[in-house]
Amino acid sequence: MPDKTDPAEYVLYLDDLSVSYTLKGAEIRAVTNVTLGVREHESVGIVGESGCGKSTLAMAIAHILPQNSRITGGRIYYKGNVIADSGTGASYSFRMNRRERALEEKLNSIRWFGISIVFQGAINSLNPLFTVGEQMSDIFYYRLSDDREVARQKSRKLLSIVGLESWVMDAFPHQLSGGMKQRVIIAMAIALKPALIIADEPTTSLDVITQYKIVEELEKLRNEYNLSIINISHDISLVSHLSDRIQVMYAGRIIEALPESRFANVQHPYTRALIDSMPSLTEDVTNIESIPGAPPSLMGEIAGCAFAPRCAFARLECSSSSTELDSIVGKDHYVRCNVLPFRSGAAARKTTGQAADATTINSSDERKHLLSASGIRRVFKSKQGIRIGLKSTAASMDIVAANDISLELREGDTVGLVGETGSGKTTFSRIVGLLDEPTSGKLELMGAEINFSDRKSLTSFRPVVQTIFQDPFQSLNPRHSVQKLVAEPLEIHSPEMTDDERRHAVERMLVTVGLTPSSDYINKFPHQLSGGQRQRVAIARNLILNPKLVVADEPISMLDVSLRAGVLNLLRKMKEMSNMSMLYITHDIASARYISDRIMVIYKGQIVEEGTSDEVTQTPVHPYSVALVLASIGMEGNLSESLGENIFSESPAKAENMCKFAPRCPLARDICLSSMPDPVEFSPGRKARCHFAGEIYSNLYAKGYVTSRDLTSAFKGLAASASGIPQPRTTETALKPED
Amino acid sequence: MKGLAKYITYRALAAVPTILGLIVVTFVLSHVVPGNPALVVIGPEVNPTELKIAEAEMGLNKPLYLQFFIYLFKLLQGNLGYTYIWDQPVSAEIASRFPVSMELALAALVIAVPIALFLGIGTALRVNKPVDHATRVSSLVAISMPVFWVGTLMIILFYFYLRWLPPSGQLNPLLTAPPHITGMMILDSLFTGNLADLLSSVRHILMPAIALSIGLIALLSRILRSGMLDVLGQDYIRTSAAIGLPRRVIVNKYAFRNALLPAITVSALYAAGLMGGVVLTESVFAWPGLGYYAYISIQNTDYPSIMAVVLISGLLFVVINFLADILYAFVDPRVAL
Repeated sequence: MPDKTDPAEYVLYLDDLSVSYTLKGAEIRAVTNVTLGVREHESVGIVGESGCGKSTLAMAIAHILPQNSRITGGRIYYKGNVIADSGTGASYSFRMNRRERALEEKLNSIRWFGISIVFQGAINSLNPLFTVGEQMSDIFYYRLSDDREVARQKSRKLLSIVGLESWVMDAFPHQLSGGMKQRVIIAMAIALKPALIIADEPTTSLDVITQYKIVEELEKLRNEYNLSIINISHDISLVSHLSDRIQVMYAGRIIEALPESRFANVQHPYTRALIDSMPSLTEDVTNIESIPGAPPSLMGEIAGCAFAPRCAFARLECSSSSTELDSIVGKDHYVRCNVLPFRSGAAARKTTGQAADATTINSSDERKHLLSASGIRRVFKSKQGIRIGLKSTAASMDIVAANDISLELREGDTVGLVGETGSGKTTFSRIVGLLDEPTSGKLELMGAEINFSDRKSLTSFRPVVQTIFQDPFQSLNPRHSVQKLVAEPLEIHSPEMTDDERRHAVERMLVTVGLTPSSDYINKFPHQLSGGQRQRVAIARNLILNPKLVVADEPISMLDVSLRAGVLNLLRKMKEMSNMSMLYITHDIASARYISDRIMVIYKGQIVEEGTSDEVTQTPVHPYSVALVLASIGMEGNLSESLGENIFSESPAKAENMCKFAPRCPLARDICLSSMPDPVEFSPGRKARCHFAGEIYSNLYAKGYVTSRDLTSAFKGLAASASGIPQPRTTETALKPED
Repeated sequence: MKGLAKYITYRALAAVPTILGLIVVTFVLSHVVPGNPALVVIGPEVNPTELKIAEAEMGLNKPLYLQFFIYLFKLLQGNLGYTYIWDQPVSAEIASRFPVSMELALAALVIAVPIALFLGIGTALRVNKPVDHATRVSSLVAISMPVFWVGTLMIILFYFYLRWLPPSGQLNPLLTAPPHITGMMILDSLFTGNLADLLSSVRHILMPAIALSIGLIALLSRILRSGMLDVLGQDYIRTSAAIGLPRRVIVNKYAFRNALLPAITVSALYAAGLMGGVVLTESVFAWPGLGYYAYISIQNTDYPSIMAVVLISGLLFVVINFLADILYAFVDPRVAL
């Protein structure tokens, strides 16, 4: 067993911990035999997919498990003292009996003074009905018995430590952006100067660039307050960026413990498969491998290795003989695997080393135009107005969600539309999917202009354009069987087919999308399927009409990491098989690169850069694309160092006729504040909406920078020297409420 | 606070068309149902000429739309018509009976809300324990028992067998009623320091108030329980738990306010059904309020009274929901943008 030493050497030490839930009489083994130590000032990452037990682990440490939980074995030590074992449990009760009351008194000095916890803050970590200030100062009021005024002062100071202004004190959570809320949560976590912070998915559901802000914040606080941190996430690159060493969890067990924060030398087939299943920005990956199957049910005992049923290297004995965490691969590197297929050599990532064949795009210009959108603009009328800070704007305000977007799609083309929350990418995708009408602009499909007010002609186009939605849990009617779901489009658009014909078509389609044998699935209902299988049904439902264009709106973002590659590969296969075109909407530029021929980057309703996938990801030009690429590759160093503090600014562009990105741009000059740049074609086939696109391009890449690895230093140099670019402006851009 | 004022104004304005619609529907309904109001007034054995004269006097020979405008015009002046059954203006009848019903409804609330809070929060904190199951079963039973049946049972038990409580009315007929101040017997006797009246009126109101509150207790406690359970599982409550805030603060401050939101909405909607409950309860206990008045009026086809009662209960519904909206906005800052 790893880390088998004196628990007193660690801030936190889990000794062979097992936790179970009782649900309707059945036992669910959420955590099994986890041994883990966290030293002072150490940051340990725990990676795993949903349901792997990582959140249970977090709540057990914080002693806030639900009532139906039990510690079935092992102990939790805090600074050498046992704080939980099978006798005490780690559950939280709102109504304590005498025994629990005595235990709680012991815990009192550890709760928040010793261990604090940060939940995924963007959604539900703050009470929606109380101001931020009240929730923060209650910590001091009730835990330190400070009086109200002192508590408020301390809270204000905490907010300033995480870079928030004092108006946030009087704001309600819904008035803050996701990133701001997450910073409030972090500020709360350090309120009583704990020794350990558990960060459970601290950046999930935030935008890529905002994620970096949070990461930088946590790092800064770790050094300032000498904190130990446990980072829990499904996001491998985030964990590797934040942690000194990493533990990988699967089915409630730690299956691999790495001595470092890099994944270069991973040994467990699951870890390896997980990494291989992720599209990359830095390597030329033409094929990512999907992991078959889905994580096992944790009900009852799992005999042998939990990953064996999905493992490509599994031997017969894997599913019967149990595995132990062993350090046979190297010092402090423990793997729970009896086969260790990668042990002999550095079995590198399965890459072909070949760049994606970008040439095919140019050579096939005679292919027919399928879709042409020009000048698409969509304005939403907002009655209530939107809030900026605490001040709400005028009663009526127009929100321009899509602003002058043009797109040409030929048959067989895939265009990736990359942007963050609120960039207007979904608005545009709904228009292309014929689900929403543009305020102005022209949409042509197969040479015919779409008239959105003519419902009849719109219906005739429906089979041609199909949309795959983000959430397969909501896009499929839970009361319909797979057969009904997949056959439904045919019932509507091909009423002449007989039931038998339809059934055959559905069966063929299920096989095509990888749900084989189809008889296993055809009579099931959505709740009996995994997320990946559901998304496959949704895809089958789209493709059964043989559409010419598929709009895929974040088709993998709701899926578990190990299931994403499967769906991505399926989409790619479908594209190749049927010569259909696709508009792939995503916030993840790496997956866009993997699946698309061309990429368009959208920011605040405008396309800021477009080009082939490799061009945009390897030689990004618009400062926003640069930031996106840098944030996505999990670079070394800080985003704010290379791109300036403003990159995290949430201040909106104040004037109509200025560059929308100027408030965040490290290169912004006076001209950026006074005129909106038009798209500049700075090199053949490439456009960027930036006054300095040409200069940036020649400065960054003409000297031979070819990969994004060098981007950081290059861009930093560019911002500093500003060669070929006028001097920096001096306007401040901080977000301030006007009282 | 400016946002809140705007919200309230907006809500109040939105209630105007609802009320207008209510007036129209009330009017049309009462003129569509069969039966001749004039017949009710002058009695069934009349000759056609007398009937014609009576109809003309009551304006019934005018076109319907004209009758409506006359009705609306009178309504705006506070004139609800004249009831021949009780032989006085409907408005006078309503004015004297409204506080009586109000007293009963308030008494029911005073009984129901604390019990429902206690049961709702208590069972949420003891989820799946015997108490929780017992409460669930009894709420189900309570919700399914019609009020007239419960009322009768109570009378049999507490009056007939135990002789603890009086079966009907507002006050012991041997006592003199306190002077009319609020129209609510308990308050009036309290203000005048009349202890005998106070005791008697409390004893009289107990049974009807309990009968009326049973349904509300059952409903409200269930809503609060599920609301509480939902909230207690949220990340922000888990965070509060990990912070080590005292449990009473977490439950009574952070969780309770969130759990209150659905309870407010449901209680306001429950008010819609309350009028029906009031009619039955007041009839069973001969409580001289609006419900009893409605019951008598319907029995006697007293159109002006029926219209007035329907209108008033409709108005009440609008007003209660308006108040609930405002309360909701006070509790939930996300509402009043």
